[in-house]
Amino acid sequence: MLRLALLSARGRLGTFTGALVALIASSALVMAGGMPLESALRTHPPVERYAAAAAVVTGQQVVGGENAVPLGERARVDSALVARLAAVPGVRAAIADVSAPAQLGGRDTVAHGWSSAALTPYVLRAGRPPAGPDEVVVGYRAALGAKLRLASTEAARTVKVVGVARPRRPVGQQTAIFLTDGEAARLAGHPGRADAIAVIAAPGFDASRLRDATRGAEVLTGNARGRAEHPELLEARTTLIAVTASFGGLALFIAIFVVMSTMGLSIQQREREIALLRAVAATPGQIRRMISWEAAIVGLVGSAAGIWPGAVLGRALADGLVRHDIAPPNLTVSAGWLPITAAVAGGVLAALLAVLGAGRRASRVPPTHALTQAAVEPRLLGPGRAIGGLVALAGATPLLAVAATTSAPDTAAATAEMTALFLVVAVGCLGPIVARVAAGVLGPALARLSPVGGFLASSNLRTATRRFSSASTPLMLTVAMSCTLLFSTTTTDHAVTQQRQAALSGDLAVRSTGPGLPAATLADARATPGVRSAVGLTPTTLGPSLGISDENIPAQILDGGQGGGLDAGVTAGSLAALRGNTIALGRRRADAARARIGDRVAVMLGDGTRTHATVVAIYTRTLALGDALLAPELAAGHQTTPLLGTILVSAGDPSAAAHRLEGLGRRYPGLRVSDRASVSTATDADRATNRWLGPLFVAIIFAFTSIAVINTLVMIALKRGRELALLRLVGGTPGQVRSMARWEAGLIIAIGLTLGLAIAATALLPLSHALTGSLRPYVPLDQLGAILGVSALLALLALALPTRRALRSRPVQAIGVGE
Amino acid sequence: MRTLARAVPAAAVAAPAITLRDVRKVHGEGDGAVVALGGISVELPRGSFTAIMGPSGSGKSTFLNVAAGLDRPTSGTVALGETELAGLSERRLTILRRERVGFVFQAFNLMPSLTVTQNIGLPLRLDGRRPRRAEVREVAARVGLDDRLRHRPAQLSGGQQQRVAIARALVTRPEVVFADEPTGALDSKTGRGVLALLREVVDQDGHTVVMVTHDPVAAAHADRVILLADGQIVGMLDAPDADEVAEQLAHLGD
Repeated sequence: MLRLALLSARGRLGTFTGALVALIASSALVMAGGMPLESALRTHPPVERYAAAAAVVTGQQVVGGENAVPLGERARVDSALVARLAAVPGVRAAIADVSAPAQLGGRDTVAHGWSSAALTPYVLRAGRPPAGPDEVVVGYRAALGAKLRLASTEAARTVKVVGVARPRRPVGQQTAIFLTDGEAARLAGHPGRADAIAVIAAPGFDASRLRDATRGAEVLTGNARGRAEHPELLEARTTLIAVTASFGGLALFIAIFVVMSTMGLSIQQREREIALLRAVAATPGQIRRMISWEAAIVGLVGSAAGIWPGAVLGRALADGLVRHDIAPPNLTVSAGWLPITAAVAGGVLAALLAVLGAGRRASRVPPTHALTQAAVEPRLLGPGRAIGGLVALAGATPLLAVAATTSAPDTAAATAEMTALFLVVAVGCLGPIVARVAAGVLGPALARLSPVGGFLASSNLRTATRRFSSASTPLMLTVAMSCTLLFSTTTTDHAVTQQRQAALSGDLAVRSTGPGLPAATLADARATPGVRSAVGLTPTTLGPSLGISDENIPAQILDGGQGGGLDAGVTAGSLAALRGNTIALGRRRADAARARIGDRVAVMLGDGTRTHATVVAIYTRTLALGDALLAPELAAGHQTTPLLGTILVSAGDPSAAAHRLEGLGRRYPGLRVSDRASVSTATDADRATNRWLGPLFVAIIFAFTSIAVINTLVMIALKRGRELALLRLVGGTPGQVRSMARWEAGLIIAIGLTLGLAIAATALLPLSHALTGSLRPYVPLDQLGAILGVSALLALLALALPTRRALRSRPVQAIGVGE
Repeated sequence: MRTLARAVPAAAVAAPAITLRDVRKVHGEGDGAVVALGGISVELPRGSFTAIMGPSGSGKSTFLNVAAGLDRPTSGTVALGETELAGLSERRLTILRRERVGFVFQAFNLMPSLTVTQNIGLPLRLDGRRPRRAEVREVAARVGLDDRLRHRPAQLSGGQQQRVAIARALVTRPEVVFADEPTGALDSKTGRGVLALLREVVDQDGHTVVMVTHDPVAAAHADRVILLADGQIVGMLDAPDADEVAEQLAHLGD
């Protein structure tokens, strides 16, 4: 059978072209989606600045048992541990390391105490170690003796470069400057606790002894030391893995769907040939084996052929992730085994699975059909389709329920995506029924409207239900997925922007182009003449708490209570009371945690510290402000840096106040004053990620599904040759034949687009309702028009060109040649 | 080369149903050119049943296609009744075929999505008319299928499908019905039924039938057999019987 399959495959490449195109494109899509994921999985924060340390002791950066959650803020260790670690046998030295954000002479860098230089090690090339608070050693090329402005967590001042040090090993992720240990610790702002304690080994060093000596802290050795160096990369990596995994999974799912429907169609189209084999006495078993072998060969060849273009695309995508700061610069991009396996195994398995049902039916075709009418349409719905359709429908239902109740934009978007996928599969399986219903509804009107073309087209729709279903399925997929992906983003963005506009109604916003604003900036801003009120708003996260067990909670530190034009939509309590150990909660979060005003609730701060806080206010604008607002005293010392994010200012005369506030730039380099419009547009990194990545993913999915649309429709239109020829032989003019083809194309497009839109609407409504309370998702009409217009146009072209070709050939020949 | 201006029965004083004069048909060009018809002249009288026979490659299918206006001759003229086909555009030709010619092919005669009624009425519909039920039923009854009107082709046997095809060919009351191996895909018993039907439409309804076949038994149903070889008419048999035809065919190779 393998031989027969090989011969058959070789001799009739044309037959397999459609299936091959689908497989190549699918495999490329899976590669493109899988490569960034694999790169993300394999990329770990590099060990650079701690290269000379045998072990690094940090706080527990990851919390939770089953679902490990990397915390959003740096988890620190007690400095008292230094003495205990130094006493462990085999330890030459234990050094407490702190990092303070800094800008020296306009250059972004990180400040450490001089004793940390030994951890890399940095060695002095010139000069001497820092001895006073205004002396600095620079870890990069700089002029000895230069006087430079140092901006860190307080007002800028001038320091003197007293030494130039070079790292023994390359340090690429960041640059370092060194102050005295005391000055660095003061600027870092968390006395008594260190970012990490690094251990220099002596002979007889044993990491397990260190573990015994530390309690609750984490001892990192080898490559894991990188996690202590860049805890933010750990969280970024988790985000990156989530983003790329969701795209990779989506790509795999869509690819399998397209391969299965194309392979099914290709078998369906070869029924005549299969009947011929039956006529020359091939047993149904032999036919099934032949079809399976063919599917395996085509699957293997097609998937393999898609690897290279997929790898090119995947590399470009991963590079884009790095360029847009979504992935760390040290992302190592390579076409590893994971995406290749997924692409090839997915392709072959999907192809085999697809021919399982179709092949069984085809192998039962009576041999006599080879010589007569082979274009027998099977019954409306086989058991496979019926079961598949019902299972997919059953899968979509609980997702709809989840989407209707969640308030997290990301969860809502992911759920909408999954809902759309399940519905696409369901409608794809049950498509013939849809075609039959459409024929019943549209048929009579069509026949009256166009007695020849419309009549023939609607008759075809009624009987060739599978053909119409196969033809409209990729269109439905394109429209459903593109609309769901794109408009879940626009709906979320729109909701966030609207809430921001309502929540941040101040006149001016003060931000920094550098690492952030020192806390003292807020007092200075308040003291600026013309400023009526000002509050500081700093993004942070809470660890899993308040009824959430598996992810961080987006939050803001609100410094200054009421004022600055901040309107959180408070429904109970007052933000003016947000002082000390207090917290304000978003309404849904408060409901979930059963918290009311005055309750003391257990929270986990961003660095993993568990504490209690009193609820002083409940508010509604959580898309703009996150689920919790923390008093600065609650969060103090538990952030990676003590810097402020944005200062919101309300002023009597905004332009005069803005001018005076800009004067603060002398004390705080990098300070920028902007109007409120710039505050209300989504600015945080997450949304920026979505704005670049979301449309790109949509574009890739759209491009792939468009290939599927063209491929399927050309496959179908090419097989119409005999029917078109017959129509011409019994007296149909080319115009009449074209009219029928146009009406059919119209029906296919109308069915595909309508179903796609219906699915997208079903998936988006709960998302919209959950996020905004309105049942109207935000749909920019130009984008919707582009999706519908381009897919309809592609479908028209894909159907019209083969029809034109069929009309050019002589009908007698066309009908004789057969299929 | 014989000229076949034969005296026709007195009843047929009008122009012949089909007239071919010096028809040559060459496929391809230059060295690869193949002469399919080498200058054929023939008249097929109205109300006659003619069978075209010959070995493979003799040009019998080309003859049929040229005579039916499906293919244009390289030189020479073809007339359907009094209408010369030479000057007609593709569109005019299609309309002429629709109104005045019927076709029955070896297989794939019917639109799979249409019922028997709709298939039979298709030429009328293409002509811009709404087929009247009585009209279609009458023709369907003529071929013995008036109890299958709502069936689709897939639900019919091969013989029944050919009957529907004949009914469709007859529904426009054409001047000529062309049949290309109409029994080629049928078993012999079913085939005989189809041939008898063609015979009937000539005898009882006065239609003109031109049929290409390679089966001497099928040819024996015709009034006359025209034998083709290498693009030339090499013989004619009136009121043939199957043995006679088979013998003539056997000698064509000599």
